[in-house]
Formats: sequence, structure tokens, C-alpha cells
Amino acid sequence: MQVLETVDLRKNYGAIQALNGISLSVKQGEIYGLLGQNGAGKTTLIKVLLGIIRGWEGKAMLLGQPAGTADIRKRVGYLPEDHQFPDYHTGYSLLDFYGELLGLSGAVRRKRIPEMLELVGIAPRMHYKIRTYSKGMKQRLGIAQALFHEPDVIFLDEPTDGVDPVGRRDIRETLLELKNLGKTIFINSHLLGEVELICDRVAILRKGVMIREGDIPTLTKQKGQFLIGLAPGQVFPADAIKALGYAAEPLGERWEVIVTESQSIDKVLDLLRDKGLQLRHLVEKRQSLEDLFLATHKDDDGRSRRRAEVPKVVNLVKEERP
Amino acid sequence: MRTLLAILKDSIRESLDTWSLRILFGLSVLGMLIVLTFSMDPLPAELTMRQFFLVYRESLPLPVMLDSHKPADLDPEGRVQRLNVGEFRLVSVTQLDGDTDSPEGTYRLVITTLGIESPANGEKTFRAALKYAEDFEYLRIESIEELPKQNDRVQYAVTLKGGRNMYRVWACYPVWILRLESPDLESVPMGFQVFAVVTLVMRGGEVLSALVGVIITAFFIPNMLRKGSLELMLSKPMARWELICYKYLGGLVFMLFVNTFALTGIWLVLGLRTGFWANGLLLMILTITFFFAILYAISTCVAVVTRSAIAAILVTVFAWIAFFAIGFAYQYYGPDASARMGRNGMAVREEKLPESGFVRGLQIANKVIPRIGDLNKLNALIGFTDFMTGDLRNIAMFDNTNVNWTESALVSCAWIAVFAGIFALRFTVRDY
Repeated sequence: MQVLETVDLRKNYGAIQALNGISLSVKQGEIYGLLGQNGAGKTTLIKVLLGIIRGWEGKAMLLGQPAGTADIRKRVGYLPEDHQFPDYHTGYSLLDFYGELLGLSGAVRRKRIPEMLELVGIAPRMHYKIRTYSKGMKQRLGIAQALFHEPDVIFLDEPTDGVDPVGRRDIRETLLELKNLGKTIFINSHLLGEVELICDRVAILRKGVMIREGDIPTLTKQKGQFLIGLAPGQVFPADAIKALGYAAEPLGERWEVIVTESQSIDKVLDLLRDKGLQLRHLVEKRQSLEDLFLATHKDDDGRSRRRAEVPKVVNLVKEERP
Repeated sequence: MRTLLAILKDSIRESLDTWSLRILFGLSVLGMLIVLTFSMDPLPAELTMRQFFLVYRESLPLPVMLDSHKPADLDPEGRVQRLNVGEFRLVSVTQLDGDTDSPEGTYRLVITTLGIESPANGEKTFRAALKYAEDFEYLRIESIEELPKQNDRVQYAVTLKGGRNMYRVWACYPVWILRLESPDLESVPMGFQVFAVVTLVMRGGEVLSALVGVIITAFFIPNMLRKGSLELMLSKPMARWELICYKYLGGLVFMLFVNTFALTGIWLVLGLRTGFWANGLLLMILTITFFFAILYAISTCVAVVTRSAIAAILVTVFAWIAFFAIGFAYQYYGPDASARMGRNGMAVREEKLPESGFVRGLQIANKVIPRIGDLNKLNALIGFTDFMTGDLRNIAMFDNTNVNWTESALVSCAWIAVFAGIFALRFTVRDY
């Protein structure tokens, strides 16, 4: 069942195209990650879906209804980036206030608030003013308010920002539990390692355009690059493989073989068998989500390339020193 | 309804958390303490009766301030004609029952005539002179008994019973704030003292309350519109117009609480201190809050457009000054200008000013702006009615002959509605 669907979604801020024809769909029970540099349109997309910003074009459906209506917002939890809770509230009173706005009865609120604050680990401080909370505690409170009314869809903008590693693990586990309960979760994050750990699918936005989308194994697969390892003591026939027209480079104890569009890895494997070599390791090489992200933004403005080059420059300098 | 209550509670919580409410409650308590330090100790009956006759004889404007009279009772300069008991002199006062300082006791007065030789004429003149006092239920003549002549002058023993309004004119020690004594006055009627207190509350308190209220509440909307805060609110299942209108109402409820606390406190202190329950003060809670509602509509509108509390304060105060200036100019130079305060506080008829562009401009401006002047008149009416008797309309400050209350209320309400419409529309269509 499609929980979220956009078709050719466009939103302009004056001359700036914040969203330029975004089409995506998210199924129930998926954790969907939205990646992109600052200003790529991630937050704008969420705000369109929640009805926080208007004047967009295209189609946006949430839970089978047009996005942004008040009714739909009852079934949605949202944690904005850089959120600022009114600091005159305590953790408890904030959830009570939001719960009342969400139409939860007093009895339900009284039952769920301590449970939810316990879940995110700030129950002992629930009657303290928010202004006394650390950044991590505020973030946990933000997660709590987004999940508190048991929404069907949860939008989290940088949910682990400022949270310590243990807290991040807890949040990940909570999100995975929610996914198992059939909740749909939509995450914006710059912490690509986090996204990689929990998201089923991701989309990468650049300047309002979706440039990649898919499940993480597919996206991170590096097509045409194989790592081959032989049994101990056997010598890799690099020259013979190069003679077949393949590029082959040593990579530690293994060899990386690059297969072009017109080639097949099967010829390499046949050669190895013919020579009586025993294959111990064969994988199609993968990249991390971060590598993928940097690669997709490599040609954007050169920033990622420059960043990648910095360590080399540093190394050279170090080498020149006596 | 649940959303409204949630936002109202949130507004109260916000104001309780900040210093704003404490400052306003502190100022209110200070006002109550000031009222508490007013002496208002009633003088013994004899002194009060002597003052009563002294005031009558001199026809001081004081009773005019206390009570108003029909034009027929006044001379061209506004002096009270029919109250002149200058032909009599008070010889002695004896209280027959009640406490020595009780306004509603029974008193036996011995009076002597100054120029009237005929006993019959004396009694008739005395009864006529005190008719005003009887009309307004200050005193009632129980009996008049002729006494033997003293130094060839006719004497009477008059038994007077204090009426239900006697306490209004009962003399008190003229001791003011913090028991500072006035060097000029031996005593001041209770009513005038309360009049002074209510005037202070009405004029000073209203302005102070509205000004501090405008400053404090100007932060409510910009705080909500902060990035990261507003998104949380907008993601909740309610219409935007609801959110902003309820926040506006939250500001009003905040000021209603403050005004209720301040005015009820002053009313209570005043009542307990003097036995004078100026109930109009309680009604003024509503009128003062209504006045604030006009200003807060402007403030909210500016805050929604600019997201700046400072801009909201400046524009609102500027608008307030403009309303006042236009209302003031209209009262004195507008086409309907007809009443001004005379030197004795009485209405004096004036010639109408000739039509001009200025006058027409004033007329148009006065038509469309909130009628602060009318609101002040309304406050004066409800604030002073408790300790005024007679026909209030003939004192200029209560002169309502040119006031169209319906139009005035409609214009003020329309003003709020228009600004509420603007800020609700702006808030609804804007991207955040």
C-alpha cells in the first residue's frame, strides 16, 4: 500500500526552484531516507507534504488523501530540523499540550506521556523545564512528540542530531520497532551511516531534483568492479587477465578486476579455472552510502572533490618534512 | 473547543513562566497597597455636619464634582443655587443614635437664622434648602422644632436622619497616599476621595495596564513564529486561522486575568477600607480589556507581518497616540464639537466651528478609528456611577449627548475584526 506519493512536485521560492519535478512513492512499513546537501529541497518536500508551505504544483498524496490537510496531520508525526520547543514547558506539559492539539483525551495523554518519555530515556526529567535540557535531551523529546500520538507516518528531520552514540542506537532501535509495527518513516539526515543502517530505500536530491533513488544495496553496488581472492599461496594471473582486455589492480591480498559494459566476469572465472586456481573470494564491489553521496555531488560544484583531495595534500606536505 | 482551550492554557503558561505576569501582578498589588494607605477615616458627625453646611454655604464646586444637577439648579457660572443654606448657621450637633461616625445615624442639629425673623419663613426656607439633600437621599428631615429666640435670632432644633447616600458626602480626614497630610484641606468628602482613587485607577491604571500589556504580549506571536517552533505548531491538525486567532485570544485572556486581578483587588481594598463598594470598577475590567483588544489586534497584525516584537510595540503605540490625537482634536474642533469642560466642571455650549477641510478630515478619521474618547466616557460613567447621584449627563466629562454608543461599539469591533482578518489571512497564505 502506497502511503506517500508525489508526482512531478514543484515548488519555487521566487526564482529559486526548491523542488523541481520530484516523483517518489513510499510503501507502508518502509523507512525512507532523503539525502541531499543543504538547500537540496529535503525540508521543503516534507513541508509540502505536511501543508506547512503552500503554492506548489504537481501531485502529493499522503495516506491516500491530498497532502497537507488537517485531517491527515492527525495521523502524522513530525520532528523538524533545528526545532525550538517553548522552553516554558516541561517535557511532560509539552507533550500534554501537543496531545491536546492532536485531539487525544486527558486519560490517554496521562497514560502515554510517561511511557513515551520513558521510551526515549528522559522520564526522570519530565517535570523539569525544557530550558534545562541538553541538546540531546531536547532531541529525544522531539522524537517523543513525533511518536507520541501513534501516527501512521513519521517525518524526522535530522532525528539523531546532537544525540550521543548510545542515544542514536536507541533511536535506531525504536524506529526499527515502529517499522515492524507497520509505521512508515521518512528521514532526512546528513548522517549517512545512520541512514544506511536503518533505511530501506533512499533518494538523493540535488537542487530540487531527485538524482538517485532506490534500495541501499542496489544504490551502493559498484557495477563492473569485482574483488577476487584466490586460495593461499596461489598467484593471481594478472598478465593473462590483462591480455584478455580486463583491467586488474592488486588491492591488498586480493585483486580488483574491472569489467566494462561489453565484457563479462565469466571469462575471467573461466581463465582461473583453466589454470587450476581455486577461487576463495568473489564479490561485486560495493561503496558506502557516503561514497555514493559524494560521487553524486562530485560534479556539482567541485566541493566534494576538493574535500577528497585534502588528505593527499596533507600527506605530501608531511612527506616533504625532514 | 479543545484546541482553543489548549492554546489559551498555553498562553497562560507562557505568561506565568515569564516575568511579565509577575510584573503586572506586582504593579497591581502596588496599586492596592497605595489604595490601602489612603486614610479615608471618617470624621465625627459634628464635623461632617459643619462641613456639609459649610460646603452648602460656599457653594463650592466640590458637590458638583460629587453629584450633578439639573441645569435649572445652576446659575450661569455653574454654581448651585437652590442649595444655599447660607441664611442658617449651625450651632450644635448631637448624634441621637448610631456610631459617632456613622453616616446613617440620626442627628439633632440646633441652627439659628442669620437674617430671617419669621419662624414660619425660617422653617420653609430651611426645608427648601435641604430639598436637594433629600432628593439625593443624603439626609431626611424628621422634624423641625422652634426653639426660644437667642440674641433675637430664631433657633430651630432639627432632627435629621442620614440617608443611604450620606456616606458619599461624609467628611474624612484628607490624608492621602502613605498618610501624607494635605496642608490645605481639613477634610474631604468620602465620595470625592473615592472619586480621586477611581480616577487614578481609570486614567493612570488603564494607560499603564494597556502599555505594559502591549509590550509584554507583543512577544507572544513572534515567539511562536520562530523557526523550528512554528513548524511544530503548523504540523498539528488545526487550521492556521484557528491557531493565530486563538493565540490572539490567548493574549486577551492574559490581560483579562491581569485586569481582573488588579481591579478586583482595588475594588476589594477600597470597599473594605471605606465601606464604599465601587462596583463600576468591576465592569471596567471588561471595558479596559476591550480597549486592549483593539491595540492587541494591531500588535498581532504587525507581528505576523514582520515577526518582530519591537515593530509590533512601536506601531501599536503609534496607533494609540494617533487615535488619541484624532479623538482629542475631534472633540474640540470637529463638526460636532459642542461641549467643553467649564471652569467648574460644567458643560458650556460653544458655537460650532465652520466647515473646512480639516474639520471634514477629522470627521472622516473619527468615523473610521476606534473611539477611545467614547470608551473613556463609558469608563467614567460606569466608574463613577456608584458614588454619584443625580443627572450625570450635565457634567461635561459625562456628557454623552454626542455619543452614538452603537456606532462607537460597531466601529471599534469592526476595527478588531478587520485587523483579525488581515492577520489571519496573512498567516494562512504565507509560507513558513
